[in-house]
Amino acid sequence: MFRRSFLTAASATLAGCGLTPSPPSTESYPESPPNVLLSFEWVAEAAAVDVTFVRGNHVTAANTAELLVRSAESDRTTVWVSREHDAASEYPLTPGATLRHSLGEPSGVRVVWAAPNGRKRSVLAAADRPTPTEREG
Amino acid sequence: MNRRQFLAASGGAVASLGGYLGLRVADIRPYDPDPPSGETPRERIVAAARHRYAADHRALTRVRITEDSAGASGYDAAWYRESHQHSRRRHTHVFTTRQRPLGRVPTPFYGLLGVFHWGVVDIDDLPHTSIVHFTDGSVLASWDAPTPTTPTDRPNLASDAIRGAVRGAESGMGGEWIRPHRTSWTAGDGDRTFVVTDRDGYAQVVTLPFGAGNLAPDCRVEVTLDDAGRLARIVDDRVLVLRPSGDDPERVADGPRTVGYRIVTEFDEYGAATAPRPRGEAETTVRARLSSLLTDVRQY
Repeated sequence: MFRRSFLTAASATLAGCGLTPSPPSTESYPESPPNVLLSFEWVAEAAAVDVTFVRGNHVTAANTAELLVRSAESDRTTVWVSREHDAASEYPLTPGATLRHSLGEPSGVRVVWAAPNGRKRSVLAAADRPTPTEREG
Repeated sequence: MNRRQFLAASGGAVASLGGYLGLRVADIRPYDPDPPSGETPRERIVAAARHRYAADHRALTRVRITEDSAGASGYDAAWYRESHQHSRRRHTHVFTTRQRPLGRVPTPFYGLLGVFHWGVVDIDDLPHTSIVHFTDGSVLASWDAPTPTTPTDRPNLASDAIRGAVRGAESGMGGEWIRPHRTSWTAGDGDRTFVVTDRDGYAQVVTLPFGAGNLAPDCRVEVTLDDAGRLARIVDDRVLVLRPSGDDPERVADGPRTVGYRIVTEFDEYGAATAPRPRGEAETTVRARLSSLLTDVRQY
């Protein structure tokens, strides 16, 4: 009798013990977005800006869901690389790559990075269109 | 079964269950991460950086502003302590800024928490300390906390402290000093110190903040490993060339501005670091407490 009641109680107690502790994990590494250092060259006659990937980490499908250039004051967007949408280039994006973004109207630009899980977007770089005085200088 | 047997069995079951749940909530578990290994300098350094995610340890960073073309330079600006007790899923980040450059200058800290701290610092009200403490079920933050006497003191929360629930499988680290890269390293002093001195290589190795602008030619990073192949010290000499943007109201310089940082991080207490909860009370809700507890019980 006692043995049966003990086993019953123990079964109830240990029911969740199949969930053993997780082993040490380094799956989160790395958490940071890739470094992408850019330069911007404004092309007045074409109302466009040429964005050049100067140096940094390779932009791959594993570390970037999408990289795009967006006009600061409108919805005009050029997708540089993307896992889901049509894009101007394919993965991986390496230093030396260049993208032309048509402005349509005088505007600064923002380069937006989307995290691999698609839940986070950040502005990687921003550039203001130079004024006529700055261009002459 | 008589009444005595029933009560004894029930009591034993409740005690066992309670103890087991207590172990899960406190994350007391067997823990023995594999040591890092690699052949080439790059493999060894990346393995050491990855190992940091699994191993209990402490990291202490000191930041010095070495040059600033638009203001004063040659001063100790900030420090940052990260206590990573992954065996108990507890992590504490303490940032203190004592002095900082004028205007909008990128954070010298890696990761989002460093960005937040650097963003809330008022240059006219220094020093400024921010504390963030993670467990697997909760996050505790005080963005304007009392400055500890030394970087290694247990921090105290301020009245602005809040405690929320998290359900993340995140590491609690928030970023890293060294990331996977394709750069080759030059041997430094001894067989455990390695250096990258070219801009292209440097830009791959360290974690740069958004808005870093351009790198000056004299950027370099030096990594020293300990006897076991773990990160022991990183010296990051970073020189950024910044162009004032339209959203910088202070515009302390009209042309490009050069700002240099010397960011020295030392790693110690491997396998022994603790990350106790900071002292003090924090505002929270019953719902957040229950949610934290549930996540804590689930994740073991």
